[in-house]
Amino acid sequence: MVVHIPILIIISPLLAAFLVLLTRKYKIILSIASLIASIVFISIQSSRILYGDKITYHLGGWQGPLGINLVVDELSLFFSLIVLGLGLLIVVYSIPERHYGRTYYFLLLISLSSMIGVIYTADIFNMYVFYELLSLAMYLLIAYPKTGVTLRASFNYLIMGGVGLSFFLLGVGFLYAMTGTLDIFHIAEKMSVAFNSNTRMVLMSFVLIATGMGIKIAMFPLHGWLPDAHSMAPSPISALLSGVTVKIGIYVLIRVTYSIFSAETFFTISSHAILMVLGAGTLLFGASMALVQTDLKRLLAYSTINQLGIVLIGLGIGTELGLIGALFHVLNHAIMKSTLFFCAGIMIAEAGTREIKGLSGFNRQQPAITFAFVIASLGMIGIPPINGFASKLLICLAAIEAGYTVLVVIILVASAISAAYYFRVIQVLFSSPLEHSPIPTHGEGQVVHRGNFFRAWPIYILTAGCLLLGLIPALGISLVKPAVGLLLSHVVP
Amino acid sequence: MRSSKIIRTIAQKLFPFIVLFGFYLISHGHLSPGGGFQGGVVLGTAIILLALSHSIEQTEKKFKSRWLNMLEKLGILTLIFLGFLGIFLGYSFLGNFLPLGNPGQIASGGLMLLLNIAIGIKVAAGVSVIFYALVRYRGEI
Repeated sequence: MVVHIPILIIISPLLAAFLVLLTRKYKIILSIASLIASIVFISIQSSRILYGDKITYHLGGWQGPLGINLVVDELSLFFSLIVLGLGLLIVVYSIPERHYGRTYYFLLLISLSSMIGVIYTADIFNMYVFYELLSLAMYLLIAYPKTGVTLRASFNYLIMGGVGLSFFLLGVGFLYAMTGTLDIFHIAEKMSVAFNSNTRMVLMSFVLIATGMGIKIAMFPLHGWLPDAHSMAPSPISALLSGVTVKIGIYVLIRVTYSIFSAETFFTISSHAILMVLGAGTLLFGASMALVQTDLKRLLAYSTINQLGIVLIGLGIGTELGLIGALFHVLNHAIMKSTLFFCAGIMIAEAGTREIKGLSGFNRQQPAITFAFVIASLGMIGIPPINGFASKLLICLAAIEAGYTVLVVIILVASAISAAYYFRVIQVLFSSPLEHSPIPTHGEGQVVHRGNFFRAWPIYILTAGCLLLGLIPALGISLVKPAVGLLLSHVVP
Repeated sequence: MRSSKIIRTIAQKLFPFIVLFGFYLISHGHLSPGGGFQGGVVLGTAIILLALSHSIEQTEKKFKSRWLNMLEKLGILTLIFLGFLGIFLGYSFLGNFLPLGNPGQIASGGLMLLLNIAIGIKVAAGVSVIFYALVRYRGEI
C-alpha cells in the first residue's frame, strides 16, 4: 500500500465527496475522516521526502511521457501540507452551521481533492483539468448562500477565472506544439532545443502561463475579482480562498516556470524585474485600498492582495534567501489570514453587521477571539515575535543582499499602512460599546458562538501556529529550505 | 403545451434505436470513435427527446429523477472502485487486471470497457438530471 500513497491522498477526499452525497447523517464524519486519512498518508511519507527522496507514481501503470505521473517532492509536500491542514480546520469550522447541506461538503471536498491533484500531478494538461475542477467548485461555493451579491461576486470570478485558465491552456498548447509531450519533466528536457529553434514561441507560452496565473493570484492590474469574491463568500470559504486557493496559483507559477523554463528565458524578457515591479504595485495598491474600507471582510480581502505583493517581490528577487522568504510567507499568510477570516466570521455573526464601526466592544463579549484576532493582525503588520515578521525580514534581507534597497522602503511603507488599517479595527474592538449596540440574539437555527468548541478551537490552533512559527522560525524554514534547494537546482545558469 | 401526434409517435418509435446507438457507442468506445461520455450523452438525449415530445410529468414517472440521481453517483463510485480494485489486486491505481484479449473484439482492452460503461451510466443520468432541473427551474418546456 505504501507505494500507492500519492494517489490515495488525492482519492480519499474525492471518494468521500461522492459518498457524502449519498448520506444525510454522516456527511461531517465522512469529510473529516477522509481528510485525516490523507494527512496520515502524507505524514507517513514526509520524512522520506524531506531527506531528498522523490516519490513518483505511474497512474494505471503507464510510464514516462505516455502516461500521467504523480510526483511528490519537497515543493509539492510543502504546499499539500498547507492544503490538508487548513482544509481539515475549515471543515471543522463549518460544522456548527446547520444550513450547510450535503452539497456544501461535497464541493468543499472536491475542491480540496483537486487542489492536491494540481500540486502532485506532473502532467501539465492534467494540472489544467484539476485547476478547472477546483475553480468550478470554488465558484459554486462562493455562490452557496444564493443571495444577489454572492451570485454577482461568483459570476465575476467565473469570467475572470475562465479568462485566466484559458491563457494557461493556450500556453500549454504552445508548449505541446513545440515539444510533443505534456509531462513537465520531459518538456524541461526538450526545452533547450526548442528555445534555440523558436525562441518567440517559448517566450509567448511563458508569458501566457504567467499572465493566466497572474489573474488567479490577483496580481495588481488583474486583481478585480478578488475583493468581491473573497469578502462575499461564507466565512469558512473566505478562509479557504484567501488562505489556500490563491496559494495554488503561486504553486503553479513556481512549478511551471522553474521546472520548464530555463534561466535564459527569464533573462530575455527580464521576468524577475517585471515580477518585482508588479509585486511592489500589488503591495502598495492592496495596502492603500484596504485603508479606506469600512467593511471588515473587504478590508481583509484587500489585505490579501497586499500580502501577495510581498510574496511576488520575494519570488521576483529570485535569490535563495528571497525564495525562502517568499515560500515562508506563503505558509505564514495562509495561517494568519485564515485565523482572521475565522474571527471575522464570528464577529460578523455576533454583531449582526459587516461594518467595522458596529464591532465596538467586542473584546468584552469574547476576549479569547479578540486576542486571536490581535495576534494574527500583528503578524500581518510584521511585528515580532509573530510569524509574519520572520518572513518579511527574510525578504527584506534578500532585497538588501541583491541590491534592491528601494524594495525594502516599499515593504516598510506598506507595513506602516497595514498597521494603520489593522490598528483601526483593533481600536474599535477595544472601544466601549455603542449605546444602541444590539445584544446578540440567537434566532432559530443560528449558531451560538460563545464557547462553541468547533468555532473556537480551529482559531486557537491557528493562533498557536502563528506564535510558534514566530518564536521558532527555524521550524518553518526547515520545511521550506529543501523546496527552495530543489527549485534552484533546476535554474543554475 | 401538447405536441402533435406525429411527433409523439415518431419519438416513441425512435427511442429504442437511440438507446441502442448509445449502448453501441459506449460498448465500442475502445475500438472505434465514441466512448463513455459520447454514448452517455446519446442515452441522455433519448430521455430528453421523450420529455420534449410527451409531457415532462409522464417522462418523470418512467425515469424518476431520484433514481437517475442515484445512478449518477453509482457511476462515479464504480469508477473509483474499479480503480481501487487495481490496487488491491497488486497493480497500480486504475491499472489493468483483466486479460487483454484479441484486438478488435468487444472483450478486449481489459478494464477499458468497464470504465466506459461506468462513465456512460454517469453521463446519461447526469445529462437527464440537468435537463429536469432546467425544466423545473423554468416551469415549462
